[in-house]
Amino acid sequence: MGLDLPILWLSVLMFGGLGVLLMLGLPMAFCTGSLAILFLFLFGDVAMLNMLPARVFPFMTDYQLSAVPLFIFMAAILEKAGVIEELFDVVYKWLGGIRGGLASATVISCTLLAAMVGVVGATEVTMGMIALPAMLKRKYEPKLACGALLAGGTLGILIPPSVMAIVYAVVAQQSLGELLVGSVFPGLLLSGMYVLYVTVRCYINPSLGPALPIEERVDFVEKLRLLRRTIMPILLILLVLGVIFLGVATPVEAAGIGTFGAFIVCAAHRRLTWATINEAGIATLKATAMVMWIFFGATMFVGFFILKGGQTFVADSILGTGLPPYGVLVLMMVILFVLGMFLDWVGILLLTVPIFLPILIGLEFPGVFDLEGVDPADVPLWYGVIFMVNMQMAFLSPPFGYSLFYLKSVAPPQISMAMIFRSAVPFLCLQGIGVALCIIFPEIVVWLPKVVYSGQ
Amino acid sequence: MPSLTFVLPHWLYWSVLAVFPLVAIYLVRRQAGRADGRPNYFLAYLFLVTAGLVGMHRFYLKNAWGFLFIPVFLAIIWTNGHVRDAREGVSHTRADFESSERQVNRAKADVGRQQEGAEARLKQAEGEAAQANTGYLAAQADKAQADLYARIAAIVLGLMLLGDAILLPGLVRRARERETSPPPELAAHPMETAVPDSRAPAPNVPGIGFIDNLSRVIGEFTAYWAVLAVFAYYYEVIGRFVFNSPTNWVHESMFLMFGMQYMLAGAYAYRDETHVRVDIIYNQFSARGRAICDLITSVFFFLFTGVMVWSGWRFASDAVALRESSFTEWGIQYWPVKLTIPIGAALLLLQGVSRLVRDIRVVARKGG
Repeated sequence: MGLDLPILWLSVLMFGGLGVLLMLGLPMAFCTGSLAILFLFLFGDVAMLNMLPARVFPFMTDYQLSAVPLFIFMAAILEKAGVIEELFDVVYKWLGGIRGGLASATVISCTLLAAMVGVVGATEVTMGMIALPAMLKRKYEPKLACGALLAGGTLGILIPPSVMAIVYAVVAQQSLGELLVGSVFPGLLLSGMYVLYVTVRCYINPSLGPALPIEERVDFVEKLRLLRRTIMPILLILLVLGVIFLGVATPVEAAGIGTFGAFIVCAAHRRLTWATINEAGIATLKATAMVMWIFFGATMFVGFFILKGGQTFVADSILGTGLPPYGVLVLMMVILFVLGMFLDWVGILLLTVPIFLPILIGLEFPGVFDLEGVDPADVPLWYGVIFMVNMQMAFLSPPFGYSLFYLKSVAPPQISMAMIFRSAVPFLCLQGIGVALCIIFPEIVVWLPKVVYSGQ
Repeated sequence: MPSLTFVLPHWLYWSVLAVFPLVAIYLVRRQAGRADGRPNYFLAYLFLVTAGLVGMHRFYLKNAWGFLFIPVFLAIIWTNGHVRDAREGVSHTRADFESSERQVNRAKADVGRQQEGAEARLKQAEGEAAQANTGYLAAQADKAQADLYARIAAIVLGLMLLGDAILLPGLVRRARERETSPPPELAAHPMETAVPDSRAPAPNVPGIGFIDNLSRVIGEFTAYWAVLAVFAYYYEVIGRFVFNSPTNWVHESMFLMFGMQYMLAGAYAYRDETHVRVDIIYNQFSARGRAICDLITSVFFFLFTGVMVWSGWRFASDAVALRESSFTEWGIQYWPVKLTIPIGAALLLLQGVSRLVRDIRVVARKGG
């Protein structure tokens, strides 16, 4: 119809409308898609609606995106194979003797699992079902137990392979390999901080997480014997990450081979049946469809917003505040955190990255506190990984944090939602520190990709 | 190593997409209730054919002799690299030799024309040519040797695989005797119960069930495609590294397949409530309140799906009319892929109708 409206009011209408529709319970994908169509019709013309499929089609034919279903499929097969249970069993027997050992074991198993799967759901839920009762039975403080589970499970989306990295790579037109490699150290950093936090707290106050009683511990020979059961998962991790790191094959192919490996692991656990494949396939299909339809809807929404000058508007307003580059970055982190309280990562990524990234590329980051800064060419990579670390908080921040719901769905009844909320707080702070560290010491992010990819 | 030159014909691609899910659905039905995951011939031979190169079929049967395959496999990878290098070496040295030959000829011509210093240049060129010739011969010898090693490694591995193909039934039988008990049960499908469930209560409305079934059947049908991708990518990587022959069809066929899958699966995900909602407030409402919210937002939902069907159809019908195919070497038909946009959107629209009917029913029942 060709109405015209200043961009400020248009932004308010668009994002206000999005908020209202979301509150009314319409799924994210359809909120963004329908608003885009409505606004295109009101402020553009009918002919522009013909562009919609042309915006959707490139995502249907995107090579990198086919890694999303594959990595989810791999996670689903491994979950059906019982790898999660097995890893936890081994790790907790190793660490049972130290204080808070079960909580540390939870985080470490989650870290290992995160190196095999690229999603959060499967790990979080299964670990919740096995590790939480195990900890409660041994008189662990419920809040510490829940917190370790929440934070550990969320690592799945950060440590490569990671579905979030794939989506970011596609949206930001970045090298997927670099992103995956770049998120290794931040992932390990967070994992290390969780273990440290749990251990320190349990050593200060042993009643939070007592060590296993002597009669439940296993001797060293038994421990070594247990290690045999981790050979297959570890080989699988080495295979997938090795393929990505050495660059012998693309991440998509790594996902394909990894899933093939998962089939073999599943068969070796004697759980590979057609029914398993059916269940894993359907779980994958649903998770993928969810991600992709948000892709379709949000790309229309953001596409229209940028077309109407929204990107320049946001850039002008943010830069107009006169903040220094690092101030801008911190402001963005705060915005992401607030969005993370209500939206899930796919929506946040698709809505914010096309708007924020061009702003950051135009800025210079010479470093803070006299530390080394970021090479302008590395900014998209650096921001991508910081974004991914920030999104860890989105999983944990109430009221709408996915991990909180996952855990609640499997926790015993005496664990209330309020208790889960409170248990997440210290770990949210740790994640905040993680984000700050990645900003202050960009080498955590950019060093490894430089080493790995410098030869090419 | 022999090279793989197989290019997937277009008709085979489409028929595999159509037939494989049917086969899988049949096998799931047939196996229901009596599968115990114990070693079986099918998987054993599948692993022998696909991953026998690294002894996976033996590992599957918990047989440590599989480790014997690994050094042979590494030898193949190594000799392949050697063959590649040697091939390059041969072509380099041949180029050197040919250019030095030309130098010699030119110098000879100069000598014929009695140019100054031509004799010396001829001598030097001849020396260089002789040297290049030795280099060329050495490279050829090197290549012959590399080829020999590669052939030996390939033959050894081939014989090992052949032997195991014969031994496999016995191995499977013994493994089955060894493992009598099935693996312990795992906790039931956590991934499916995990998403916060805000499904509207579903009263039975006659005539609507078929929409749900349609979404389910199409969803499950496309879900099996993921299995195809696993083998396709595996084939690509093995082809490249073991047989030195990358394909031109694996990547394209797979991302198009997934593209169609995303589109067609939207309705199935909507049916099972896996599309993310922000249900902080929504979940606080009663069933009736939620149904009312759904009725309000359904206007937007139908706007989205309706426009997608309409514009998707215009987009696809052009492609269909032109019988559009891709510009790549493989040249697969594009129009069926584009056609999934209106089809997927229409399925979603139908699923929305099903939900709308139920919501109206909920509102009307409680209200009246």
